[in-house]
Amino acid sequence: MANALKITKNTEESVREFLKILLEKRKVKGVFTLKKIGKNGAVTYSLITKSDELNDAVPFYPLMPTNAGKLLSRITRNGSTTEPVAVIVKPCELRAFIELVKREQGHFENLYIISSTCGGVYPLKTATDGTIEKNLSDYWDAVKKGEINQDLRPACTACTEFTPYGADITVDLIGNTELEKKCFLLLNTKKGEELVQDMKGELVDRDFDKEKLKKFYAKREKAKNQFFNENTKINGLDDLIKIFGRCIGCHGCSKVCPICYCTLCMFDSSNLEYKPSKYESEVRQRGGLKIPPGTIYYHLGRLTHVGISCVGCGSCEDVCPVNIPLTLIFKKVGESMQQIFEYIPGKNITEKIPLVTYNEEEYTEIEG
Amino acid sequence: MNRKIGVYICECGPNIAEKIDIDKVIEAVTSLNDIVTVERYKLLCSEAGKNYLTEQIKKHSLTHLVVAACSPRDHQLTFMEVCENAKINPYLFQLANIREQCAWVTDNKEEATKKAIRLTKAAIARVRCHSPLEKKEIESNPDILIIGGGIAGIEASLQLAHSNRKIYLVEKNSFLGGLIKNFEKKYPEMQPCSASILQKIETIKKISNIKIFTDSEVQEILGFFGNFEVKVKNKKEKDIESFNVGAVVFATGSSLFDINKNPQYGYGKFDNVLTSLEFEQMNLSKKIVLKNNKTPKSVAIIYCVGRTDKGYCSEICCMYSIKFVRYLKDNIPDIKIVNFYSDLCIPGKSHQKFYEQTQGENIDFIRAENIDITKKGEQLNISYDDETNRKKNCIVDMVILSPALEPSVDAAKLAEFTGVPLGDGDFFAEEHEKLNPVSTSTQGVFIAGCAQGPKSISDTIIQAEAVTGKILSSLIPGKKIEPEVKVSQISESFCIGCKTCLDICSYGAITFDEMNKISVVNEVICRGCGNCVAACPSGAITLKHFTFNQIYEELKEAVQ
Repeated sequence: MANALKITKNTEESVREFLKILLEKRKVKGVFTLKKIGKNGAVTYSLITKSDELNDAVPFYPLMPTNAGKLLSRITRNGSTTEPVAVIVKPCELRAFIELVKREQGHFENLYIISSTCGGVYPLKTATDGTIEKNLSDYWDAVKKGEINQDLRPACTACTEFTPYGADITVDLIGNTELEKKCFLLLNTKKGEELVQDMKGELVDRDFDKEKLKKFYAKREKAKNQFFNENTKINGLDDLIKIFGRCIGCHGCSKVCPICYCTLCMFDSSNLEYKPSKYESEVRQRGGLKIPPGTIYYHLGRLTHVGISCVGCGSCEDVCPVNIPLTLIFKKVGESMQQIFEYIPGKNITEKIPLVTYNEEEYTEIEG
Repeated sequence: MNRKIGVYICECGPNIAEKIDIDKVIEAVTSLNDIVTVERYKLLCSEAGKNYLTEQIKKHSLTHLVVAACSPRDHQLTFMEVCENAKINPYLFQLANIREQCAWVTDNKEEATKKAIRLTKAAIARVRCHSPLEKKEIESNPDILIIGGGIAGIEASLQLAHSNRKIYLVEKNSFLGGLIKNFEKKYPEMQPCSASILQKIETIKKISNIKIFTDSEVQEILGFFGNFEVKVKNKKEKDIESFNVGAVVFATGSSLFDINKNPQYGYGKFDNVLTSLEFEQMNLSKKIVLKNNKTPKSVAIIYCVGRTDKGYCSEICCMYSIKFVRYLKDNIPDIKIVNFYSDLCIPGKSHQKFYEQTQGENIDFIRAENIDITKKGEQLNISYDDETNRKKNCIVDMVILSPALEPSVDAAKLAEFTGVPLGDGDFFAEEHEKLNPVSTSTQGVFIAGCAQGPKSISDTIIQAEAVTGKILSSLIPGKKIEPEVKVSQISESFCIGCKTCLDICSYGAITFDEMNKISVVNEVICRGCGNCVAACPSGAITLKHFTFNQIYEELKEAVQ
């Protein structure tokens, strides 16, 4: 049985054309994808309804201006879209969206999810100084070969979840040596099959090159272990003070974090604003106090809130103006928590978050 | 607000005075802000002590009260009452436990004194952040819904019917009486059973304020103690009746363990292998015969069927099996009876005697394991391991199986839509096995009889009476209900509508406002456990009297 659509053309072009035809044939009323804005390599997510507008679409561009999971949540928080929309997102963005849907922050209905095996993204600053454009050919070369790119977001270098969960269509990128000539859309669901019906291309039997993906996984895993070893250098409160002490309290990390979904963050509210008496009592105890205070509290608070669902997209570290190694801390702590609960965030929409899952017999070893 | 805090340290006889240097505690807290007076007293919970406190509150015009004494479990309410009588809000009070968690846990007076100072300071810091809370009252409905028309439901209905309230008794079958209707006699007194239950059923039908629904099932129970909305559906006529009650009794009873799960007993495969219930019915019809209409010459009774599968002892099977021996001997005096048991459970003041009097000629009790039943001609062969682990065989005409009791199938359904949890063996869980055996975690929902676990007729009646007592003392016609004051509150601006709290709340106290996409607490159902507060990612929920600030200030002093 055919389970893939083969288009004999450059992969990105094929997908762009595929999206255009979806709009023209009215199979979907909108396309949510990355689109170029300007020449330096700046891109943004856009919701597009006219097929001409897709000329500048770059669905697999190696940059994540905002985690798309967060954006999809903004579009669908108060209800599903009334018309069908095709959505092209990276695996960790899809996982973030699924985590948000589990928390009633988004709706899946009427979305056709297209994702791909992901080679990772570059830090945002590469799109402001233009270096990303220079890197692109090297990037796709490495993706074809199944190699890890240089200079990616640290989160991406250490990512082992590069295959999407729950996409209707997965585009075969990593290890597809014929990327420039052939495009393969792997159909995972009924919705995916519906979408490719009567489309240009040939229905074929095709799966990922599993051997290649396995090798790529091994490389990423090795990189992750190396990366996590850095963590052993952070020890105790003193080191946390050193690391978070330089936090300027801009809360940018929470603004871009897809899992930080509160509209009004407790840490931004007056509830946690120190009163004079509190400043005084803290100073009395310590003899001195960092102003603004509470930066460790903020980061540890965020860590406990998002850790279990952290998809490791690295957005937080990317926007930090004072280079706090947030990915290192959040990804490592997050994954450790997730392992305890055998939970992979965003893997399965029907699996409830551990906080609301109750089994009579669990963790008896830590019961009082 | 100008606070005037009074601090009173109880000597508790020698309990606190001997272990803690109370004068040092007084010295340590006297100069703190807002403290008007710090005193010691011999026994504050005594009548004289309470009067003393009341006078002190008036004399110093205190606004807040701190008592350093025993555990809040002992006298929190005592001192809150003192506050109420002295016209200060009882929530502007804090009790520091310097006895159980301090004086009683060390011989080191110096350490104990230090800790007592911390605890008292913490209580003072906390009470500064307290806000007055007002008690609320709601109208209560005195009527009762009883689910299950067996002996538990019938007994509870009869007991409650004379208390000026309406009883709704819902039974799924077309008749009342439940399992008990099949029993000719009760053990150990061997008095007629079905006659007495029939009499109760006749009585119940005559009482005008008991409304009986047969062939019916409860479809929905919404609301809270004092005010439940109920929907009952008639299974035959398909119509639905709605009414309100103040309390609900689950008396859904039990059914027999499915013997088909233990094929070694040959049930359903061979003739003359009966369940205990089938034998009761056979005995009731006065025709103890084999399939071929002949009278059996020998019978084996097999105890503990399904006990290993269920993982519990069903309490009554041994006794009713011994009763079967009596039935058999009464009807067929020459009959040979072999009882295969794994453990005999015959507790109580009269059961041992009943057992001893049942022994006699042609009655054997064999402790056996690995029982397997096969057909041998017209008869049945029981192969078993005896106490010395030797394989043996026994041939009989008839086999009676005494299976474990398990909850009625309705229990799981009821548990699901009412949120009342199931416990061991999937029977309804009591609020506390020993201290609150007929209450559930849902206030106003009670359990009686085998719905709570396997039990005898007399224990079932005791439970029905206990439930009656619970209801009569808590749901009094005309009396208003005081719901918990320390409840959760959700901030509309902080709530993000993720519904995490809905999953967390064990009491079903939180609902979702679909219009505004926020969670809403029903303050009458909320028990103030605080789970939702801890789970809310947005910090949108606060628990009255356990606010972030109150706990923070208390902790800061305690760990300083």
